[in-house]
Amino acid sequence: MLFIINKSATQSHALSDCVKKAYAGDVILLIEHAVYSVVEIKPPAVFQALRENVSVCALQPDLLVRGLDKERCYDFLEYVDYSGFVALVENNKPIRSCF
Amino acid sequence: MKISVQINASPYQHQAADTAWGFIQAAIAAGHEVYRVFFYHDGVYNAARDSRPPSDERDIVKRWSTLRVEHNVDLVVCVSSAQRRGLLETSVAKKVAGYEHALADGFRIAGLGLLMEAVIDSDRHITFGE
Repeated sequence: MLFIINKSATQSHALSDCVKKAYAGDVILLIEHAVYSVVEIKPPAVFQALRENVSVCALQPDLLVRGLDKERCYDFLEYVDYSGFVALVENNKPIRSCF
Repeated sequence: MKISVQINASPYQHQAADTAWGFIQAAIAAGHEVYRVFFYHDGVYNAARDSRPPSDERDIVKRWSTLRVEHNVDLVVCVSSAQRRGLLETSVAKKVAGYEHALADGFRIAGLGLLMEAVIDSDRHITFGE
């Protein structure tokens, strides 16, 4: 399953809910304001419940426009551009946008 | 792959229309078919004919109309959402408001049946917005 989240962890419970619901092989894609949630904090708050083999991706153009660079983000994070976003959609079914 | 998109948020206030646009452009570039974009709730403002952003800004409404012309993407506006917000189609607009048409070129108005059809007929359906 591909979870698409567009709100930060402080705006909505969508991310924390999806982290709890995602199992091995699932992908969580963070877009728009959700990318604020990948700035590393310790302990990793919302990602503490992340299971093994669940991928967390961020839409890189949304990180860039918010002035967030990779050095400030969690190590486990993967980055995609819009073509990578399309590839995630292609390779995962179902797709669930969580608001 | 056949992809349909749903947009639930208004342009200029929410990033959804821009994210959907970036996604659709990348999908088309990758050889996928974007079958339908369904505008729902405040997303219907993406079809507002009278939208006039400043000339140095992106024109979101015009951008959608271009998508219809260049890639034959079906742009469908939810009739109930549109009427609630005063975006009336020709027959209703003439009768109750005395003007021609509230929707920009390339958009058509329809019910939720076409949303369901898009979900059923597409390989993937993605929702942007709220």
